[in-house]
Amino acid sequence: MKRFLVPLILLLAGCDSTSGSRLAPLLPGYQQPPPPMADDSAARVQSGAPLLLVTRVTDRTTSAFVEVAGTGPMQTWRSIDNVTLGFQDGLLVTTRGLSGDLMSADVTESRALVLGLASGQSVRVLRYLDGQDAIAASAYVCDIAPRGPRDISFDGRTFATVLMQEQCQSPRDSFQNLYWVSGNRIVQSRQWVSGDTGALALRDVIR
Amino acid sequence: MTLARRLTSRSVLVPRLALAGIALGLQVGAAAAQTDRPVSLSTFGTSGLIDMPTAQSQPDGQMDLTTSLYGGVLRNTLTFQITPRLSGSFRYSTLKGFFGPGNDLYDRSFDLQYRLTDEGQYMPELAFGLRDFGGTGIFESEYLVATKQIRDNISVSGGIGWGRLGSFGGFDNPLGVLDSGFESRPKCCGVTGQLAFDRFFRGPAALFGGVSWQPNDRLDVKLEYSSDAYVQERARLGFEGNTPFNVAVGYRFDNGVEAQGYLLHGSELGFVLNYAFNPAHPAQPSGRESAPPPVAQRSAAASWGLDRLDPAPETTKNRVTAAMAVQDLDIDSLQISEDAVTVRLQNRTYDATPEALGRAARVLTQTLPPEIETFHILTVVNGVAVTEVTLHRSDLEELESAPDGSWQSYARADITDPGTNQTQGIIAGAYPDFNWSISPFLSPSLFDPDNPVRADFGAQASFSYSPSPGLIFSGSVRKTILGNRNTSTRLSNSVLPRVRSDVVLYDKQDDPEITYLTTEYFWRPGPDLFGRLTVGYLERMYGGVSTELLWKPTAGRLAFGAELNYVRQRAFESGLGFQDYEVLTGHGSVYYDFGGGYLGQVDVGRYLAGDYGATFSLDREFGNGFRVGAFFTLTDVSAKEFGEGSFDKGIRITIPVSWLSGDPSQNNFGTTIRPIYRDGGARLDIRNRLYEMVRNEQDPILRQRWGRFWR
Repeated sequence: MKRFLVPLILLLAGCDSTSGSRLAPLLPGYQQPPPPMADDSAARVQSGAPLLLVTRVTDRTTSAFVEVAGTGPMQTWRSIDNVTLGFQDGLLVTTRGLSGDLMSADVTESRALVLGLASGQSVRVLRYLDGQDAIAASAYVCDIAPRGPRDISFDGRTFATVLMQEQCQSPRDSFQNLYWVSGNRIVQSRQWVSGDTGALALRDVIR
Repeated sequence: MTLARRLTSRSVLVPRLALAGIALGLQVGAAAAQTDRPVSLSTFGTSGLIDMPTAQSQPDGQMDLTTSLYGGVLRNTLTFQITPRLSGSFRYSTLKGFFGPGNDLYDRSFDLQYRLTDEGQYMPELAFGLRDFGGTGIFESEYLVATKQIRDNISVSGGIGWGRLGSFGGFDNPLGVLDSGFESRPKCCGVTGQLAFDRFFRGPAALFGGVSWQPNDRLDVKLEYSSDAYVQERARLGFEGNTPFNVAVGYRFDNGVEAQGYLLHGSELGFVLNYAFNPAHPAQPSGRESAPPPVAQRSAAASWGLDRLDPAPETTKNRVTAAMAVQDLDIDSLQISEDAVTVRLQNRTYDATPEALGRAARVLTQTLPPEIETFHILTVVNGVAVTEVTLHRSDLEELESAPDGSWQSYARADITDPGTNQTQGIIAGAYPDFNWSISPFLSPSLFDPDNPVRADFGAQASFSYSPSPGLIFSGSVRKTILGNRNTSTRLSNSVLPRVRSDVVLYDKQDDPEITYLTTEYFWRPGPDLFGRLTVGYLERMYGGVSTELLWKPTAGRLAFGAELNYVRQRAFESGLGFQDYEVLTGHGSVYYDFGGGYLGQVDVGRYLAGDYGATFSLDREFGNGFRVGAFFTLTDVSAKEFGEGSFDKGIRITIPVSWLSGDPSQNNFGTTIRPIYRDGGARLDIRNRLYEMVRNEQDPILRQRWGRFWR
């Protein structure tokens, strides 16, 4: 039913002076508004900021993300359509703009095992918006183990990595994350976001 | 391939990604609504088998829209699971030829069911219910029913019914042991709209029961023994059934839709179509809006350029205003004193205030020099600052990616009342503030006794001009392009002043109407106090002067309001003219937030027809703003003077646009369904009543929606 309602809503929404109106571009003398200040992706790419290719596993759509902020172990990456992903040493801890966003994640235990190339069990807590704008936490118990060495190539250059597997289980659902670790760094991974969004495949771009 | 080129080629995928996101969200949202085995719905649109009820409840908060049809009898029902145990239904039925050929019965009825027990190992669920209490009584019945799940996919129900559910295989009422008055049921019906207390659980009783079997997740097979003799249908509609057994088969689709076919009393074939959804679960729980800017960390001040920011006040204001605009936020004042900043934030974009606060705070981290540690953000509605939220920059830096960052940032925020300390440091150029909009409108008139759906569709243009904070000139004009509201022939027969029942005469006008044209002034008379003065054409049918005072602390369940209006009825054209009717009307109101989203309100005062009385309302509001409520008004107008329906009552539903679309919006679709709209107990329909204006900016809503602070 929502499928029919949404176009109706968009029709009824009309236009106004605050949000960009859909009729305004038809008016004489209309000028395209300047790009939002935050959207400096192109400049960042030009200046050589690190890049990440991200594919949504469910529908295989791909976007490029550029690093926009980072302090200590935390990094934030943004795509040109203004989706952001936040990582703690390469483990995904936040997404913004994916409609089923991961609001935060406690990955301290998983991170130690994955980067240490060690086997063991971790507890991982993921937090989501619950549909009523409150936070709902899901706790997972994860088994982490190396799957062995894997050579992977980026634009023709080959890297030796160790593939780490993280199998997580909660009373309601389960997921599997994969990390290709090279020299204490995650260079490629497949990481779970949420039931609504599914998993993302992430790959560093070597420049 | 250069990376720039790669980026460009990827960018064409962006809309596809967004579209895929919509489709994905919808599918998953629908699937998530049915994690547990769904409870079967009857032809009455309530938990049940075919015609007989069961004791089960639907999931808390769920809404079920049901249409059922057999022969010439159509029933449309909206059922809402008000609490985990209590459900309520509104039904609009059409019985073709009930009063002879071509003379149909349109019937509006209400049901309630209350579940007394939870299911145990041996204990069944027990519930009692009232079906069609206080309508015209065609379906009127009461029951007590038990349901037990005997296998994972088989449940058995049995119960005892009175009224219509005691009409087949009836026996002497066992309640007659208590009082002989229970043995006979007074004749139906006196005046519609009056509760039939003198008939409830009276007269012959009968037993009913049945079984429901779900061989898999999609199918539902039901068999029941009915205690409904279909007396009126046999006499008037040629109903012929000759067995008390009914059977049905249902098929459930993935998207929340279920279709059922049934055979009634061995003779009538019927169909049920049902759609279930839960307001607590919008398709896109985190919304489709783009990401917020990250917090600029002062530990990396140089990489953020924080150390190079121009400290001149004018540049600072421009820088902050521009960055706020990117987030679709406005500020109308900015004041820096040593290590603190105070801004007045106008949020016309985000329905969740915490999201606006979170984005504004992050903008401030990116645009203010590092020595500014404390952010005082005042949330402004219609020019008045309602709430002051104080945040510490070091907390923002620390909590942005903390696992429990949402709750901790709420706990560390100071939420206070700015009181009368309102307008300092107003930015030059923030006023006058001019806004306009052009939009289509849809104005339904539902469940009129002659036609269930009347609606007008057209275009409207609105503007608002605010020369200084709190003072607003605004107006709206609309013109109907298409519609059938003007075809109503129900002209008023009211013996009261025709304060509302003449609405049809307004609908019949073809000229553009001035929906409102007002001067409003909002102010803060003192701490916890809010004031409003409105002068002009207040609503479609009335113009005049309206003033209101509200006491509502920043946190707290209780609020009081007082409203006084002197109004004159507008001419039917809704232009500039007036009619002769003038009235002084006003109310004292008590608002109470029971917690868990349940809101109560009592308004006592004088209504438009000069009648005195009180309105009682109870609403359930979900955290996302979806709202369902009911109200009734009792005044010193007698049931006879009031006319059909006896007193004013109705249900109302508000659906946030953001709930449907996933995009942030402060717009809602709201409708009030009254069985009939008459002149007793009618209130002025004025815009910007203070309680609804301020409560989104205050606790407990701020706390409930704080999960969006970091969105």
